[in-house]
Amino acid sequence: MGDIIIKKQSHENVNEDEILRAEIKNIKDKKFTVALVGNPNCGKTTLFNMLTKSREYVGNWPGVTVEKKVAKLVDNNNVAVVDLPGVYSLSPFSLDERVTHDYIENENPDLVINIIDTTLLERSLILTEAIACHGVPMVCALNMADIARKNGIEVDTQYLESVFNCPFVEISASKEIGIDVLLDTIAHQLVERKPATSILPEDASDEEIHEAIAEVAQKSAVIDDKDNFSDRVDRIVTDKWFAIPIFFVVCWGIYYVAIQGVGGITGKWAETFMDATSKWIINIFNSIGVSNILTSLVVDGIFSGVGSVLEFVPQLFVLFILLSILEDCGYMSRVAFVMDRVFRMFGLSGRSFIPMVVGTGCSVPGIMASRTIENNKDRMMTCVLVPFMPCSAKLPIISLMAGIMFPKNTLVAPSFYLIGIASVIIGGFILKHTADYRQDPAPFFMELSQYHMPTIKNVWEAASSRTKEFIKKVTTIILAASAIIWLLKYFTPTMEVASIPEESILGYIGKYIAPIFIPLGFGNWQSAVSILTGFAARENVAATISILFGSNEAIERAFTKVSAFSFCTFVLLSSPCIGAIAAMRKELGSTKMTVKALVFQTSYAYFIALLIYQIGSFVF
Amino acid sequence: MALYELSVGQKMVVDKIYSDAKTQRFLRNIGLMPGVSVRIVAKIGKNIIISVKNTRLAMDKTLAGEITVVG
Repeated sequence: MGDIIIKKQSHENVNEDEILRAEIKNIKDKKFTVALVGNPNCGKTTLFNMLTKSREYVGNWPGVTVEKKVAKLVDNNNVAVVDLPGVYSLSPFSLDERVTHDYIENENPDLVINIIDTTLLERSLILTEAIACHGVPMVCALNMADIARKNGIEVDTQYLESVFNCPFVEISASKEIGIDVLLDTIAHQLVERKPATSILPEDASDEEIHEAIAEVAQKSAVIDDKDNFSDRVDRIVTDKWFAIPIFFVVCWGIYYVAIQGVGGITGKWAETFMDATSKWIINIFNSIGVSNILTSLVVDGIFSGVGSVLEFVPQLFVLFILLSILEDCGYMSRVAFVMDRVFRMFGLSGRSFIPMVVGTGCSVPGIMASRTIENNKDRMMTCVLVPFMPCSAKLPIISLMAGIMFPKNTLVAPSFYLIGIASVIIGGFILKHTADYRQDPAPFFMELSQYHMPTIKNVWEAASSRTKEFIKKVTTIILAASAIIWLLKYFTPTMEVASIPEESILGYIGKYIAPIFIPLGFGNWQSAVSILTGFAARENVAATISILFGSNEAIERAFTKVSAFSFCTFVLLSSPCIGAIAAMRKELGSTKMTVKALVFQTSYAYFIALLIYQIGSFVF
Repeated sequence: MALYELSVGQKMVVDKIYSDAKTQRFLRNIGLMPGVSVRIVAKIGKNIIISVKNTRLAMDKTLAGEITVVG
C-alpha cells in the first residue's frame, strides 16, 4: 500500500536512544529549547500538536498561526518546543520571516526542527538552506513521506544528510508514523549538537541559491511533473460550466444537514429545555424569596436572551464541522479560485468568499474570517458586507413571517438568501465607489495543496475552537445587551413596573420611531420595538414580535404580504447585532469607520425595503 | 507570450515577471522565477492553475498576464 519504510538511525541499538533520553531528563536544571520551522501548510502545527500533545487549531487559510506557541515535549519536561510562523525563507521582508529569523539568530535554540513537505522537496529546501546558514543543530522531518512515496518520489536521505550535516527523518504527522524515530533523533541531536552546514554562504544571491538547491533536489529525488489525482479533480471542480453548480450542490447539502437537519432537531429540544429550565428557576427563586424583579431579570432578560442564541450552537457546530471538512481536504481554496472571477466583477477577490460562507452560520466568525485577507481595503469591505448574508439568527423571523404570510409558498424563505447575495454584490459596487474603499483588489494567487482526506482531529479542533470563540464573544456581549433590553422593557420612563409593554421605555422609544417605518409598510410600534430588540441578538426579533402581537392571527392582520416581505428584508440587511458590531469594530480598527459602516448598512436596508414595499404594493 | 495564453497541459519556461516586488518575492518563494519551467494544469477563462516545482498555484488573469513564457 506504499507505507513508508521507517529508516532507523544508524545507531548501535535502540537502547542507546533511551539512555540518551533519560540522560536529558535527568540533567537537573538544564532546559532545552527546540524551534519548529517550516513552510506554511506543511503540517507543522499537526506535528507541534503531536510532539507536545497540544490541541492547537489548524487552518488552511494563510495566516492562521500568528502567535508564538510554546509547549513541553511530550516525553520530556525539560524540552520546550516553540512553534514559529510558517515561512518560505528567512529574508527580512515579511513580519513572519523576521520573527523566525530573529528567533533563530537571537534566542539560540538548542535545536531547530525543519519540517518539510516531501512532495514539495525542492522548494522546501530553500528554507532548509537558510536555516543551515545559521549553523544551528537541525533535524529535518520529511513530512507526508507516505504521500510522496505513493506519488513515486523516493528521497535519498543519506545524500541530504551529507549535504546539510543533519539527520533527515521520514514521517507522516497526520498518520502518526515515524514520530518515535523523530523523538529519538531529537534526543540524539540535543546531546550531539552537530551544527548544520549550508551549501552556499549566507550572502549568495537568490539565483545562485535556487540553482544550487535545484541541483541538490535533483540528486536527492527524481520528481516527475505530471498530472496527479488532485489535478484531475481540479479540472472538473474548476471547470468553466460545472464549477459553480457543483459548489451550489455542496452548499445546499451543508445547509440542509446543518440548519434543517440538526437545527430542526435541536431547535425543538432547546425550546423544551428552555421552557423547563425557566420554570425550574422561577420555582427556586420563588421558594427562596427572590424578588419578582430579579426573577424577571434573570429569567425573561438574561436567560431568555442568552438562551435563544445558545440554541443555535449545535447547528453552528455542525456547520463548522462541515465547513472544516471542506477546508481541510483542500476544496475551499479551489472554490475561492472559482469565485474570484465572479467576485472581481464587483470589486472583491475570491478571498472574500470564505468569510461570506461562514457568515451564513453567524456573522461574528464570518467577520473574523476576513482577517486572512491581506489587502486592507478588501478586508474591511468584506467585513462590512458579510452581515448582508442571512445568518442563522435571522432565520427565525424569516420562517415566522413566511409561515404566517406565505404558508403555501416554499420559495419565500430561500429567496432571502438571494437577496443577501445580491446585496453583497450591489453593496460592494457602491462601497467601491466611495473614498474609503476605492482600490483595485490585489491580484489573486493561492497555493493549492493536494487533496487529502480530512483528519478527524483537525476538523474537530477547528470546529470546536470556532464554536468556543462564538460562545465566548457572543454570550458576554449578548448577556449585557439582554439585560439592558430587559430593563427598558420592564420599566416605564418613570421607573415603575410597566403593566403593559406599550408603557415601557422600550415601548415609548418604539412609538417614537415607528413613523419612520410607515413608508416601508410596517409603521406600528410593535415592529419598531422588535427591530430594536434585534440589536442584542437577531433571534429576538421573532420572539419579541410574537410576544407583542400576542398571536399569529394578530400578526397576519397587522401586515400585508408585501409589508411582511419588506419587514424581513429590513431585518435581514440592517445593521447587525451587537456581537457582529463588536467584531466589525475590531477588524475595521476605528469607531468612525464602524459607525459609517452601520449607517451604510441601515440606509441600504431602508432603501431596499422601501423599494420593495412601494413597488410591491403597486404591483400586487 | 503571456502565461494565460497557454493551453491546458502545455509546458514552457518563465521568461520575465512584471509584478510588484512583494508578489515577485512570493512567487520566488514558491519557486516561480525566470528560467523555471511551468505547466498549465487547469484553466477558467484567463484564470489558471499551474504546476511549478510540483507546487500547484492558482492565479487570476492579472497575475497570469504579468508572467511571460518562452517555449
